[in-house]
Amino acid sequence: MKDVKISNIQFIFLLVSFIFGNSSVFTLGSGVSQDAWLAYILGWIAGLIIIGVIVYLAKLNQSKTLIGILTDSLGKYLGKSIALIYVVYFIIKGGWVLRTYGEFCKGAGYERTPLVFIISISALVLVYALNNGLEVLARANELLAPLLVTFTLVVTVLLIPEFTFDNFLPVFESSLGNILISSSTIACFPFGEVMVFLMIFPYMANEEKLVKFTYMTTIIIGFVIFISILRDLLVLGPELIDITIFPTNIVVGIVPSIQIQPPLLTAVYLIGCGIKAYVYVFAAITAITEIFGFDDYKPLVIPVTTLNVVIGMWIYDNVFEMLHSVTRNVPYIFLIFQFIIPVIMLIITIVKKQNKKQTIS
Amino acid sequence: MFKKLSSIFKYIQLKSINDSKKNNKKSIKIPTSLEETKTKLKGIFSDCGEFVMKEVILGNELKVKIIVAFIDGLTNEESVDSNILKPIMIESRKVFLDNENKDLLSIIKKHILNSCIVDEERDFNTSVNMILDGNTVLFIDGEDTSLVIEAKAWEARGIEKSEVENVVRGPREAFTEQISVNVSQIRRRIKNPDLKTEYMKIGEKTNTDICICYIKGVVNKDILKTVKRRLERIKTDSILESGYLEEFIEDGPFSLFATLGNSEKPDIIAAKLLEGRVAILTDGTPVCLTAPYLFIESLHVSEDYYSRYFFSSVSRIFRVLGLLISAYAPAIYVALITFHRDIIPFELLLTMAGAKEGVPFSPLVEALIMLIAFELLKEAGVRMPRPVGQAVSIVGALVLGEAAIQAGVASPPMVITIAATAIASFTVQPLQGTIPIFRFFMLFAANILGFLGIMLVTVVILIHMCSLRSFGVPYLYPFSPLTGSDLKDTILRAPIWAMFTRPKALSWDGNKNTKYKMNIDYRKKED
Repeated sequence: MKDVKISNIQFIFLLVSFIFGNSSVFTLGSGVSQDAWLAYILGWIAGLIIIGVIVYLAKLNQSKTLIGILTDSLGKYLGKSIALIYVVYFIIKGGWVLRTYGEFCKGAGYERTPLVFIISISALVLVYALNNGLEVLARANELLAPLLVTFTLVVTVLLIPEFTFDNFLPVFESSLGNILISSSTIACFPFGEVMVFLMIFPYMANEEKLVKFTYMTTIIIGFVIFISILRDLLVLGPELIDITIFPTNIVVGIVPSIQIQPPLLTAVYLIGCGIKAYVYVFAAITAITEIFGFDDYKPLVIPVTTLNVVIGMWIYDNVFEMLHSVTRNVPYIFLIFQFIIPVIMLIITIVKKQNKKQTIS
Repeated sequence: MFKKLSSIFKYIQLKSINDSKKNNKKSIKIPTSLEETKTKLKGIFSDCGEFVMKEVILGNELKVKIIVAFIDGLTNEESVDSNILKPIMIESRKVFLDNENKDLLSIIKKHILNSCIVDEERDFNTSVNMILDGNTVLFIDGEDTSLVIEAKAWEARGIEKSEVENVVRGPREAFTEQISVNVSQIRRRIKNPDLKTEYMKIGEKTNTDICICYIKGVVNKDILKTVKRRLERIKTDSILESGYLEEFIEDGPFSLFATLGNSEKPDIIAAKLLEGRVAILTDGTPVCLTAPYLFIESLHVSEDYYSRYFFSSVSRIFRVLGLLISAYAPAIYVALITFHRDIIPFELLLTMAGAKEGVPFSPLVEALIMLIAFELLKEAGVRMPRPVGQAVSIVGALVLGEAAIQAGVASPPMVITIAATAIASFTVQPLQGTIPIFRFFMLFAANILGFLGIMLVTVVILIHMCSLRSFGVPYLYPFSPLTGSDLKDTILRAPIWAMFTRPKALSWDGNKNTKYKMNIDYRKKED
């Protein structure tokens, strides 16, 4: 595993696919109707703060994974037990990504295909990719990620004639509290999720530049997501956005003169969701190998992916529950993992470094 | 089955080179007494009718007995008569001998024989091998060294036009079955002492000549070392064609993609050598191997570089299109019909539904029938003797085209799709064997999950291709890992005056050439 190297471009594309991931399935901030864009901008800024903490933590602890950071700052036993909780978090998140993708496929033309089938077939591909290692996936993603972004931008450009700018009005229709709640959701998903990359950063070839690359990518891809939210809002209007489950599906069907239909979307969004699920499962597996000191992670691939499928099936009863949890509920529990524990870790690291300096001097 | 195969493969890979060195035959000295040599040779070449062993006596006052041994049919007998026998028996009388200088070998070598290539050989087994190679060997009474004289000549095909790789513009000549002719064809194109040719023999029974060609200073040392090491590792009875070698040294033995290129045109090989690749020529076949071989090379044709750059760029784009159509067209058709009818424009859907009426099979079965028929036709077209050709084309065109529709076995849109697939598949010749298999995979995936299935299979293939390496170089090289400056010669071809750097992954050397350094070395070294 040690000789895995991810080049700068590969890292950027990996992050692009990851953030774009299953957030492209939903219209973020759709809980607050026409103020979605406002909530998104606030969430984006908050997300950049969270990412700042994560990136700074990674920079201080170079060539160390999340598990290494935890055990170094909290001691062997406490660190490893928190790391185990993180493993559970990664597995749940991975299953959740698979589930959202499966539901999206069901909503986009595969009504009669069982959900389990879609999820497990995708998981099979995931297993194949995991067995080939991170470097291979990063290289495959280098070819696939541009497709994802280009597709979104092309659809947006084609839809310009359908834009109704009155859909913005009236601004601040929903209360500030609602907007803040919605924006905190956005800060957690998709931006706070970048925390998983604490498991990926050590594989970067130029780890010194991770701050620059992470920020650059987050801003660029954040802008693409912003554009797609604006598009959904301007084409569909606030009422439709609130009612429909997957607004992107309908928006893509409207594209004039070219027959793009939701089924094509499932093929394209497979890239984002697949990469996101991959990163989560990979993080979980490498975390387990590091906690227990295994040599190779390959024997864990099939059990953990199976667990993901099971959790994905079991996590929600139906689509509406999923939608509610994603767009209208503050995932406080995730904030603990994404923000609070990293902040504590950051403080401990800084204090330890200063102590070291003092003892040396 | 795969487990067993892979264990054999691992055994072959891990078998150290020391192992093969250990098995080298011990050297046997040439006996000084001529009678002993004679009986030994007779024993080795018993029941070999072509073997000729002639005992002659040196013409001058020394009167030394000499055995001239060669194989009839591999040797130019005229040259043996006039350049070896005549000097030894008759003209040696004119050679003045000092009493002090009694070194018989050098006298014969320097004063008597008038052939240009004369070597000394101390090992008996090697001498025998030299005889088998077509050389003429002299055994001299009282000496433990034999003289090897090259007088090879045998009937062979001349240089002809390539039958497989056709070009409109560019050189037409192709390699022949003789390795020496092939090397000379390359040498005529690259007149540079840096063009190195290293010979070796592989095959315990066939003793086939292999030649590794490369340009010193351009080739990457690691790649060259890997090629040599893998060739040395081969332990087999016979090498009859370069395909034998390919299977022994290729990177992905279970992959559908070839990781070694082949060509039978000297200009293509010369171009690849100049890019920093290694060429492996095999005696007895016009097909030459090149390593490393990247995916993008299968979309390239030598003519791309001979015609003007925008024309070749356009034709390359069409080739990519052909590749995509030949891999995806039937699958997309099946996916549209079975899953996503709403994408098809309404008018077309009506006519398609009308055409499909009366066809009892599902689109998958229909596509399978037509595809299998096409593959059979293709195979028959290659194998059949020429005079029967017309019969096959008539059956193909009439029975499978017209009659299949009239009989209600296939619908017209399906026939169109398969025809387009067939035509497109011929645009990418090097992937002829690979694409049909993927086509069937895609077809089944499309039947199960529509576009999503096609995408899943595509992703799996992509991941597989990304995991492949050819002699340490990533298979999808200029695209992934993305290397901007090497994209100049991929789907579009930049003008030749704009291509002034060699492909980095092939010729980049860690120590020098720091100006064009990659930020990561993507190659993997073998240990």
